[in-house]
Amino acid sequence: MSSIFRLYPDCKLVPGASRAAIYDLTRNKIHIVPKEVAMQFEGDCVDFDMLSDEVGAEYRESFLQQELGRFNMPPEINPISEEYIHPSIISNAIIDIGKEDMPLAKIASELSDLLCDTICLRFVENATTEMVLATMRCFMSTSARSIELCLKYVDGIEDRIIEILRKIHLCTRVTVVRAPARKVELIQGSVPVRYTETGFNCGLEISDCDYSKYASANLSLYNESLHFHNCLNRKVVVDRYGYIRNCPEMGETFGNLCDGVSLSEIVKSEPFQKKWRETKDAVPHCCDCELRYACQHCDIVSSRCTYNVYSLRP
Amino acid sequence: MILLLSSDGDFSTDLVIQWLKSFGYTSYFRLNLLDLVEKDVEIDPAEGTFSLNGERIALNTINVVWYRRFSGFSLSSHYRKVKNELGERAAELLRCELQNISEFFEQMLPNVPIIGSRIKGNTNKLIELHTAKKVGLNVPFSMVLSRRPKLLKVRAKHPRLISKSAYNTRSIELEDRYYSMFTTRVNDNDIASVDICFFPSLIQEEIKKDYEVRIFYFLGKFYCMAIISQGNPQTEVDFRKYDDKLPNRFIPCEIDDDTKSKIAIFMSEMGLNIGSLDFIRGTDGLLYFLEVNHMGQFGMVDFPCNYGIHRDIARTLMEMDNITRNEHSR
Repeated sequence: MSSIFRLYPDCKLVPGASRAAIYDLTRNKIHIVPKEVAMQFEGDCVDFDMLSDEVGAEYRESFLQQELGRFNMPPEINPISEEYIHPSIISNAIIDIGKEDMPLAKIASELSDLLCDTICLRFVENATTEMVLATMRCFMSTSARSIELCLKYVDGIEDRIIEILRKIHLCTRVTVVRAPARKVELIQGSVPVRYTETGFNCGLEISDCDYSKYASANLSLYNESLHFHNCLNRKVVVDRYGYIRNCPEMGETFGNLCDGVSLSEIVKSEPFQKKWRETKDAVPHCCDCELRYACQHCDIVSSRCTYNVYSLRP
Repeated sequence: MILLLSSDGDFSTDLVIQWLKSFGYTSYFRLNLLDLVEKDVEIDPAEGTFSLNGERIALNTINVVWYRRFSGFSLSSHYRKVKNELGERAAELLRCELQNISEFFEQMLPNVPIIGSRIKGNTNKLIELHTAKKVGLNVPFSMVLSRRPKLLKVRAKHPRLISKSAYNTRSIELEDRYYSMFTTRVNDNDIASVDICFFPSLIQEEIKKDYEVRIFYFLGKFYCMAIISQGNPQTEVDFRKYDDKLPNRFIPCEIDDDTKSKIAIFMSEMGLNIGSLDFIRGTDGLLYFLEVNHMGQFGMVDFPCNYGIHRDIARTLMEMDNITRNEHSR
């Protein structure tokens, strides 16, 4: 039997500064491997005989048990294309709703033309149920497959959320900020409602270094991360005043919808898309992290990441 | 114009339309089967026109048709309502009425390229095995049997047997539980407990497999996927018994040119230009044909293997639409 072990095409070795990870993109698992094992890999193949007896035996056993690949891989098994295939120009949009008048119908229509599939509506001021429903209805007949809702905590919000979910089936996730306590509930069987003590944050809250919380090993995210910034790519934010941004946390703005500019034109422009192509390979700290193609933690707020890529050992 | 005959909520149709839109292509019309029931529909068979909610389409403007799951009436609330109020026979009668109306679109367009087909699509597993063998594909030993002594005889020659449905896989509802027809091994207990005379059953030799292969065939193109299910007892005999905790790997693979040309002949003999074919790669290295599904879920091939099949289908439909339109304008 050959001593060369080849990873299945859906298992990817990603080296970091002090160790490496094998992403199992089918089973959404990340296996940490020491640098000495990772360094023996040539492409997707490793020869365990090149390792010390003990280490070789340990990882041979572990890789076989996890079914990460096999000896004598049939030659007709092909690699998976690393192209990121997605039809949308914008895949996700965050729209902030305050007290100001917003051209919601125009935004909805433009997002539909951009084939946006996920829309997150963040009510940055307290809003009545009627106002939330009326706003959500503007986005009902668009390309969106899912609408996420972000609300400020008020007493009795649970009942209001139930009423909203009963009326708007496209709503797939709710976040309640400034809540008295952190918890997650499932409403109507499947819609997660997440209560958090913090305010409006973009993306993920990083407060410890448990990577399993924000790393996800899947093919789409992996391929996107190889070519694009996996948080900013195909994302647009319209803040409560109508300013167009890449991210709520970023200061730079690209025109104001209330001045009549076209959302479509802005998001197709080179300056707006520049950030999309900045992969984590170019971001200090992230570029040395073995989780960079699975972690959607945004480097814009990377000071919050405490995962020390230089000192960790398996 | 591209005519997409589909059903409401069919994800693959949604995605192909997204691709058409992303290419800026607007010359398409989607008709879901239930639109015929729920919307204001007007079909003029003599003039060859139809309109939906007032939007009139002349059939002679259609240059290519994608026949994608133009079905689903018997799963709808309308069917269930009629069945509850007037009984199953009345509901079936309505289903047949609708079927005839729906076939109009396919039969009225004899000179238009149609991808997929309802009329040709319902193939027979036994004919499939016969045709596959005829064109030179390997097929497992297969036999329809109804007597225990014959079964024992076959078993003496082929110790590992499986039983599978001769008709399409269907689930049945019994006392509020659903039962699906999976392929299962025929073991000693089964043979001991079966009557001497039993209902005609399709028995097949179990091929010792290295892995399963699903091939999505689309107008002469092959998208091949290996299904690594052998290590998992739950999915060993039938990968459709999905294991959510330990999902099978669906990974790209290649097949040899000789098999490809045989498959192309097979598809042509079956009158199919699109479909999903199931094969087994035996431990002997050979590929064994199992069956073809004309409505195959190619999403399950496309996403894990990242082939971009939906995008390819959109591009092909656009090309076919343009070619036919240009021919007409000449």
